[in-house]
Amino acid sequence: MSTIRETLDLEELVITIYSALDDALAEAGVVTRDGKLIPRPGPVPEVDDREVLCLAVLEELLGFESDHAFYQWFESNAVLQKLFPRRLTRPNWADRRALLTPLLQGLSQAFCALDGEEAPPFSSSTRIRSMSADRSGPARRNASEDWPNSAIAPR
Amino acid sequence: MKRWFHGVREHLVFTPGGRIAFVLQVPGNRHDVQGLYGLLKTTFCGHLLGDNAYWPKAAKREALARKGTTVTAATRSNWKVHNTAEEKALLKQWRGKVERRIGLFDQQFHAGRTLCRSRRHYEARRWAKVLSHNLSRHLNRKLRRPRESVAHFRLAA
Repeated sequence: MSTIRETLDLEELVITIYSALDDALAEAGVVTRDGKLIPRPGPVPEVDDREVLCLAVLEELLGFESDHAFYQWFESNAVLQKLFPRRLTRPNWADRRALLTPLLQGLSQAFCALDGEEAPPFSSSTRIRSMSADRSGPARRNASEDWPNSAIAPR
Repeated sequence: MKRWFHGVREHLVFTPGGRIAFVLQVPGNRHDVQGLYGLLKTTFCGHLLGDNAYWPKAAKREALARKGTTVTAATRSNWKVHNTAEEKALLKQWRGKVERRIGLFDQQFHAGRTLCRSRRHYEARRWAKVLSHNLSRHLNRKLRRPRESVAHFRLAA
């Protein structure tokens, strides 16, 4: 049985994020090939896509407003230096993150699925009358159709 | 150094459990309903609850329904169409929660302003914020922490 920890240190936090992302990747059916989560041409990247993804999440989770501030903190932090020995320059890291945008989208939805949030309780069981076709039938006219067209300037 | 400011209107779709299911950006000078119409060009489908600005026009409502997206939006007292008691109860139950979650997302992940170099980077950062939001809720559930808190993650750093 797991117990509630009072504090979480940075190393534990990074490992927890990394393993949660791995769970989400498995849920989304994404596999890593030569360090690439999105198939693309080119040599094997020096830094794995999962590391880029983990750092992108860490930046937002810790509330850094700019990439620059985050990268300064990242490069000066001894714990992160140990956990991420290979690192990209800041512009290259931002470019790799931009490359992974479709994956970020897919993983966000994978977390919804992991937490059982795919089907809202009101999606199919509740009949929504305003969505039935008869409310937008041909008998109802748009009020703006009765307005004179004089406001349009002649060309 | 040159700096530009771009106004963007972002539409967030929350699940009942407080996860972000979808994000859509439209230019800041567009009406709210354009965000709903924008979903027609995406893969998203499901049932949405929203305020009266999200009431789609008839043609779009049908197009959305064909795609699998249905909407329950609040109505105004002077409108010809009105929601049923069931729909009103649904809106009353969920609207406040959604507004609160939007506020939390804004506050916890600095959603009001995103510093970036280009549109590509902007989209990447916005989705990274969404992913972090969903991941934080997932971890809180696993670690038995308060469901919507990120303070303990920040204390770790």
